[in-house]
Amino acid sequence: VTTSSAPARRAEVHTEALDGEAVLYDVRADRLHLLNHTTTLLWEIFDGQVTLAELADEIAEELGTDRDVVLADLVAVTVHLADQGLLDGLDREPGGTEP
Amino acid sequence: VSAVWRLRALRFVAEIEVADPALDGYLRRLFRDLRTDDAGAIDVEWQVEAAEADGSAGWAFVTRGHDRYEFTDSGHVALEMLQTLNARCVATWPGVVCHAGCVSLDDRAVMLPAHPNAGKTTLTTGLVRAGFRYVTDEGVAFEDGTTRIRPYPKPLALDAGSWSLFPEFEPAADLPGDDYKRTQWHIPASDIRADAVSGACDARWIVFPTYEAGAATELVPMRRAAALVELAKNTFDFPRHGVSALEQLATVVRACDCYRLTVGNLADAVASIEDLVARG
Repeated sequence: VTTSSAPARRAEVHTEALDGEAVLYDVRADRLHLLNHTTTLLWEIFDGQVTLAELADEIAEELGTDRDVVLADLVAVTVHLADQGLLDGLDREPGGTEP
Repeated sequence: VSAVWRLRALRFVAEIEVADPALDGYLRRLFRDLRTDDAGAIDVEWQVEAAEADGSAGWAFVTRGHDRYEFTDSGHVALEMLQTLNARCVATWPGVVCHAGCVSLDDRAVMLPAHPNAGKTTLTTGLVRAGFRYVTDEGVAFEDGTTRIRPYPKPLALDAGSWSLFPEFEPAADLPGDDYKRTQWHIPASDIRADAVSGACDARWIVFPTYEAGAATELVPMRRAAALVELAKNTFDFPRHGVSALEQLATVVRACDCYRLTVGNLADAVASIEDLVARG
């Protein structure tokens, strides 16, 4: 995961949103995942079109917080989701096509 | 009295023939809340025959054309029938079935999903004794895409650790010996109260009980997303239904208030759920 990664939700992962949190079902792995409010927001944004750096810029400006701190948090969340096998789009430029 | 009788569990229908009149009478009474006079197609024929098991006179539970299980005592015949019934009715239900106890009041259901030995049958029995109606102590079956629950009122199966809580429900049968109540107590809900068996009802509360000896009984609200994960873990054969199961369970969870219940003693746990339901 790098700051130029543009994470995308994997197509085989089904999402159920409840009260701002999300339950994911990874069909391929037959595994369930519970996301908290913050991670759910990011999960919904991760469409493969926006890099983590771009996202950090937007969030830092919107919230008036330190951009580097935001970026570090974004990378950490992305690494966690990637470790669970839930993401695509981590090794190509934004807007890349599906293989 | 016909030599054969039928029971229906969800969509599963079995036709049963028991050679011994005393055992036949016991089993007919045990399964009376599932008995049906429906003359339609059946899924299976079960026979209970006299047999020799382990060198002693006993019984054989036979699924015609398939399996034959031999036992020396009547209790294990009933237990085998119950376990086979649980498996078959879940496997033949087209929708999602959760591993849970369940009671209802005024058409609104309290689900009690839990792993084995969490105390769900004990709590279910206590709630029925307190006036709730019995839906199941094993499998909560949903009609597809809705919160509607189809009852599966199998005999309550109480383990020995709970017998002292319900001395008035100790089974009695006109059978030699006490084999029929030595392993588990099997109790038709209509033995507790004539009108105890629930009709179809809608899920309104989901309460995850855990028995902890000596703990304070406590009912704690639970986030719906966390409840959905727990409910999925307590769903029979979840991977078979996959995404559609998660969608079904999410529909149910969205319509319910969800809680964790630590059960220190039965009376307090029953009172907690009575209070919950009274608050609407």
